[in-house]
Amino acid sequence: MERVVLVDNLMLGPFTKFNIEVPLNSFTIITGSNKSGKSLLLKVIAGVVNTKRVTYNREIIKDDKDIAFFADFVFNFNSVLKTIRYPLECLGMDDEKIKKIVKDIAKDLDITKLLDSKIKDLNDFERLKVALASLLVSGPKLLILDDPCLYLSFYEKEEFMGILEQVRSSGTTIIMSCSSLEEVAYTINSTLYVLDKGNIVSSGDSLKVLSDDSLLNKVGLELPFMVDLSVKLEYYNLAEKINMSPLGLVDSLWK
Amino acid sequence: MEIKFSHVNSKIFNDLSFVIPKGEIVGIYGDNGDKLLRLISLDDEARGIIYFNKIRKLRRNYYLFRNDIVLVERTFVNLFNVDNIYEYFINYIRYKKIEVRDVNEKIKGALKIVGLRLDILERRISTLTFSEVKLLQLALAFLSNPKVILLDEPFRGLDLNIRKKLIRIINRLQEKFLKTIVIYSSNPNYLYQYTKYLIVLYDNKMLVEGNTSDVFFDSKELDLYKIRRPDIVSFILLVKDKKNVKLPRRVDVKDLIKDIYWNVK
Repeated sequence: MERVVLVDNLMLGPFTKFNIEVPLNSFTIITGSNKSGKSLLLKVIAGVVNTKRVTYNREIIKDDKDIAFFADFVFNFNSVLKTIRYPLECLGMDDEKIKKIVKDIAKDLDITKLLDSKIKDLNDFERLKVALASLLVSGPKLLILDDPCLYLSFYEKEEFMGILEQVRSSGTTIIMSCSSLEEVAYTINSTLYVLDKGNIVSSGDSLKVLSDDSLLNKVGLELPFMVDLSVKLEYYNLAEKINMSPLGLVDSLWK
Repeated sequence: MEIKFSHVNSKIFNDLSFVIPKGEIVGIYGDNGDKLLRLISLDDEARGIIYFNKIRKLRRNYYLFRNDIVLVERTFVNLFNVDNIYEYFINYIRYKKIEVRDVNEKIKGALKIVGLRLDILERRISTLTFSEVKLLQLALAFLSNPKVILLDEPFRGLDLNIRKKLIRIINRLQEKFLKTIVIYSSNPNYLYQYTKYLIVLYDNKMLVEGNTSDVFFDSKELDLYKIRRPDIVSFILLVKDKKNVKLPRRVDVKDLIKDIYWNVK
């Protein structure tokens, strides 16, 4: 598979001889305990920390504008509309075109009603969506998000993962870190990397990685309840696979 | 310290009445719970009757409770634009007007409670990891020896091991020093696991209060307003509802598995 980014032989902070490769149009999730190095790794991939160990596929990522990086809520303007418009204004686009792009993206992210609001009046989820919109307007090829779900509730996490899935289907490669595993359970076809002190201790298809509960607990991660329950029931031969639906699991247990 | 709110109104809340029992770990759940913490900490203005340890709070006796209540914010805000941690402690003590005989001993004591090493004092705040910042926030909170500690989303972003450490600290404070601890979290799983008493807010009013386990298991209001229960509670109630099987109340998944095993077998 064609790759977008390659980190080769990274020697920085907790990382020694660290390699990771991100395929085109994939959804890569990096998780790990506090101090595992996940934020640093994302900074390295985004080019915020210059290590000269990162190689981009220059056919896809032609320059820095093709990479969008979210680490925290930093808004330069108080107006939602201005926040989203500004990256396009910087590119020197004409007003009509900007209006159309902003309208489309606001519709996709369900923030049309918020365009006339002030950032300070928004809740965390709305702020996140505005931040995401301001990153997506310029059409990045690689979207890097450092723990975006930190401030979200369960329902919001599910909705946000749906939005990211949409973004991915429009041809953007996504790399995301997370400190809890709840959001991972809402993704489809994603690759999960578990970091511990700068080493990858487990990687592969998300659901497969989640099924190793003892390893995840050991590195300090807590499984989402339904995954934890299914995995432990498997040990007792009471379940065959991870079942995310509580009702489905109850029906299969008490036939 | 016992805190009693009686018909309190503010910009956000209407007619709030509840009691936070003395020396308990109390949870706050629901919309704008963080704003309620601000109200309790006397940061936001409130109209109504508030008692701290049966003494009514008035405008003129505000100073009596000022240093008894401390709020640990969900994110660290550098108040003094100082990056060196020792200097930050000194600034904080001056700012909060905390009376101390030996500053260094006081700082040492606060760091010891949260399990941070002394060499952290020579480091800069910008080099700390997420979990170290959280522990630093707690250490700062302990400087004024408060009777009530309000924690706004304390577990957010912390991994399992750090969370266990934080809970050990909280439990010790409550058991050994009889501190009242109030935790706001949007995650019902944490509140169910770690708190004894719960206040649920809905639509800027108090919806229900009581023993945490009883509220989550028995409160009909939660169903009525579609308020999310802890996952394990929802599962136990679902089994009862669909299969008419009554499983015991559990906090740990491992215990639940054993119950299911014996029941299904």
